[in-house]
Amino acid sequence: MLKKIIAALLMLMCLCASLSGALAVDATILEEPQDEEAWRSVTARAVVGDTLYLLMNGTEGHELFYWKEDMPRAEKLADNLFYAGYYSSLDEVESVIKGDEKANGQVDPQYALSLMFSDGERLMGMNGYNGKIFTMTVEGGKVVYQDVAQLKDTSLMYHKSEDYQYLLSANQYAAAGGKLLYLAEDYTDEGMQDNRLLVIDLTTGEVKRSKVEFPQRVAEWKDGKAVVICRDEMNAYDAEKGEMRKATLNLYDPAADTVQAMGEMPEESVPYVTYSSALNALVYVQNCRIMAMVDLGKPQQVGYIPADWTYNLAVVGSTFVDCPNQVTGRTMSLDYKSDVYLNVYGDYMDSGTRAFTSKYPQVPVYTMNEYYESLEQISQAMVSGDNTLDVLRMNTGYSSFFKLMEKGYCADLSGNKELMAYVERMQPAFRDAVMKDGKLYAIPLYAYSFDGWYVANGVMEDMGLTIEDIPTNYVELCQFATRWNDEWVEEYPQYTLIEYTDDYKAALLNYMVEGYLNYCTAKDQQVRFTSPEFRAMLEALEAMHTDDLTRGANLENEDEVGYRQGLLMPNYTVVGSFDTDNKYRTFIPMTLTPDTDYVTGVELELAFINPRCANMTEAQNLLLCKLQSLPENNTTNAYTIFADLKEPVENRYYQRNLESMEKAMERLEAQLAEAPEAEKKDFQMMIDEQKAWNEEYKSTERWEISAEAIARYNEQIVPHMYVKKPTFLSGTQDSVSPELRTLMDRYQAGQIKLEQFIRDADNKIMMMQMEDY
Amino acid sequence: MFHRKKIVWLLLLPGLLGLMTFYVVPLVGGVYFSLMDGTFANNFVGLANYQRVSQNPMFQLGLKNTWELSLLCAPAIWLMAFMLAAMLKILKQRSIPFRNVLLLPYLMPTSAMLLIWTLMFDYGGVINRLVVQLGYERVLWLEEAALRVPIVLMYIWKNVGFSVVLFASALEAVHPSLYEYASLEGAGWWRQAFRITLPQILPTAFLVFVLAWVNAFKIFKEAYFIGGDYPTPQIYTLQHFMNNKFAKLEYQDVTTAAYLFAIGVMVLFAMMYASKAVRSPNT
Repeated sequence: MLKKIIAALLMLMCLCASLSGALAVDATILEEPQDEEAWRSVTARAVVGDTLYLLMNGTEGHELFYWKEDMPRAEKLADNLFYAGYYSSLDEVESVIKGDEKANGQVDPQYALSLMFSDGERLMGMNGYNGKIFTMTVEGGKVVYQDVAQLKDTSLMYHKSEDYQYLLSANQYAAAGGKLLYLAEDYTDEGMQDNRLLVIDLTTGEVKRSKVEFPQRVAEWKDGKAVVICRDEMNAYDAEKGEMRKATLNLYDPAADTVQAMGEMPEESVPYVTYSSALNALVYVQNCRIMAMVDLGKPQQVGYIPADWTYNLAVVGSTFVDCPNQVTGRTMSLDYKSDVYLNVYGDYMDSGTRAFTSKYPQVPVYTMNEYYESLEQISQAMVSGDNTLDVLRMNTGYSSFFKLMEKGYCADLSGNKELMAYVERMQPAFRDAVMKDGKLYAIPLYAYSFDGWYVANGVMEDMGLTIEDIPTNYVELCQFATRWNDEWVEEYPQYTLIEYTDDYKAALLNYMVEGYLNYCTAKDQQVRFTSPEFRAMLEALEAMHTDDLTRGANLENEDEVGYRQGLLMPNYTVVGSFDTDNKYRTFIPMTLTPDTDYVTGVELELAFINPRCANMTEAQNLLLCKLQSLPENNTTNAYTIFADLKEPVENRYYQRNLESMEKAMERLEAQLAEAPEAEKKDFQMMIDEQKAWNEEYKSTERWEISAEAIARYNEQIVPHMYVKKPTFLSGTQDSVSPELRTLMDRYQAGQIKLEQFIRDADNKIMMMQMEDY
Repeated sequence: MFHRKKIVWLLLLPGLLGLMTFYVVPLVGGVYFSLMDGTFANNFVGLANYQRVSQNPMFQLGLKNTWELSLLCAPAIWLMAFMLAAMLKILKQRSIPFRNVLLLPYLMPTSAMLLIWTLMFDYGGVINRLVVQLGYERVLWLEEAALRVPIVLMYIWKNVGFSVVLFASALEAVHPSLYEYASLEGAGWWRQAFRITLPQILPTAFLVFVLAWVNAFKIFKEAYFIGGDYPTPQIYTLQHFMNNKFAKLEYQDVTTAAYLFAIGVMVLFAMMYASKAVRSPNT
């Protein structure tokens, strides 16, 4: 018995030891710097045997890190390196190194890296400017470079135009059969893609262009061959089928320069790929799924990584490594299966989702690629199949969210006290939009409104107008437009009434109809185009004449249409920005008529959970993470959504920028003192300019969100906000835009008179509303 | 005998399975949906949907228009098909090309035909030019109540050929001696048509009438193509109501409207079948 217990304990210890050595579901190999001021990114990576080498560039300069599967974190090896891509010549590289205080004196420009790679056995580097190919080993914390070969001809590696040239970076590269396959991404001067797969002999330095056409990706394969994915990007879209052509999968033999077609890639997109010898598979990422094509066969999921797409990837043993700024590894397995996961529709890997994946690494979050146009399609996707949608993100103004909520397709979240607490803090309009009968059905995540009207202060002053002269409703706007047409076109040829507007009748009709529909939604009243408000607007529109205003002052040559700055600027942000009113523009609360209230329609992006979701707790945690990440990652949005955030927010870079501006001022003043007489005037001018910039910066840039902006938002906007729903002119299949738009077009074209337009439009609207009776 | 019946059922099985799958099961399923509230939870509401839908003004409008359009189209198709078939019978062998021409519109895709008809009936189209030539003012054929005219005309033109073929086959079965005798007795073409031909082909005539009416209930494509989801009130049919409701996930309203209509149609045809003249033409 004792022997059995001891054996069991030993087995348990061995199991723990093996697990501790192996990578967990998620492991951060190299974190991003904690200091806000610091940054670091992966410039290059290479795998030699069981070791991953990372070339990092950041505030600490260029550093070489390494990592193996049994290490918890990557460790620094050396820092006497320099990555030199995109330069035009070695002279430029030398000049840059000289100006870099960390690299100067430490790095030999002759060994500046335009590429770091592995031939499978050695860590190697290439300097495309002088053609050196060398090995890199580390001794005593320093990289030792050893020449291996000299490139015979680097011309194929450069983009050459009439006036300039630069070294082409390798989109991807692979080593196969003693050769380096260098996939250079290039474009002709006419904008046509001109990718080329170069074959570089690592022994002789010979550079040849392969016969592969339209290479997009390359990865090493076995038996001295490489996988090349090809697609003609200029003709990738198949207009007949209405979809992208799939890229072709090919096996390339660099020794014989032959290409063997192996079929098509399974997806429409062309992912970055790499090879896993452990799985004998081509590996790539598709919508957070690590996919493997074993022996170039059908792809299967072997792991999960919280990234919609990745371009900087590597495989070390059975670990997939994603190398954006923060390097993470994920274990791959052909038996990969996850019972707990979330399918998310209409969302992306934002900060909230990343926070969730960090907190709950065992719960994959897959972003769905599909797009469902209609309400039926979404509802079908929510109820049918194994891969149903768990969490959906929608915009209230352009989707069927309210219909889905009405039909019970949104899970009741009232039981989650944390979520309820967040929603209770929100602006009443947003809170009321997602609650029904006291129950919570969705979480607002983002709010904005682009239906604001502003007056350009400079234009207004130049024309001798005051804010009291500016029209504040559409009826007055039509009268104002007529006045402009009759009195100001010749006098102010450089200005127009509404910016970017040519056809005033058409534009104002659209504003009026859309505005009226939104007004009725805001007031929860029935839409009737026979109403006095709508009729008043249209009669004002009928009376308006703007022929000269439309043509502009240059009446002799109608073909010359230059930009004319507008007095009024429509479609600007009202909700979602705290930088609305400034010295350049003033907000105008535009109403329908003098007697109607001002309303502003807010488009709310929100997320809700499918009642069929099998992982309700995880889905709610995802929503919670999104809400929790708001204040830190999108302060403006947080202040827009939450009613209790009222403390002004200082610009986090204000002090730093101000200090550097003041230092610049001091330097100029010092230079002025030492400057010869002839140059003093120029220096004084620069000092005056710098002073003006400094003052401007102090007056406008101190606050990211100022107290005045918060007060203005709460007093002028919040009481008039309503959450937009799809109207009869917009939205999805809930709308009838074709019919109403046709009527509007025919009215504008003069095919029908005002009375008929009102009558027909009213009939249509009545029919739509009576159907829901 | 039992053995033979067994084989018969076996042979009928594939067809029956199809019937069950595509007709019976959806029929029962539709009844189920019509008794639910249509939400995700699918709560039972009994006949509340029937009450609500029957009181819906747009349902009532759609129903009224559907009946009116079918009353316009079905008899017109029946009469024209009968007369054309009778005329074709006179031509005998020379009637084949005419029959084929009459059948052509039935075979053409509706959308292609609609494009041509909307051009013809457009404000500046060939029909209005004819109207102007005749001294009248242009008519907005594609607007308001006038839209019924091109829709009904096109529907009749498209579907009359099929009914002609049915009538023509039935007319072939009428013995020529009957007409010879009638001619000898001094009966003209009209009397022969309605005193000899029609009684002889009454079952087929009834079939053509039923088919014409059932198909006329389905006038929707034409109105939808020209008028969209919400056309002028005069051509807003029951199918528009159901289509729009379907798009809004109001499946309970769709099925309720369909069954309300079906009840009406079944009552009508039951009354027709009850007529003795139809069941036994020789009495």
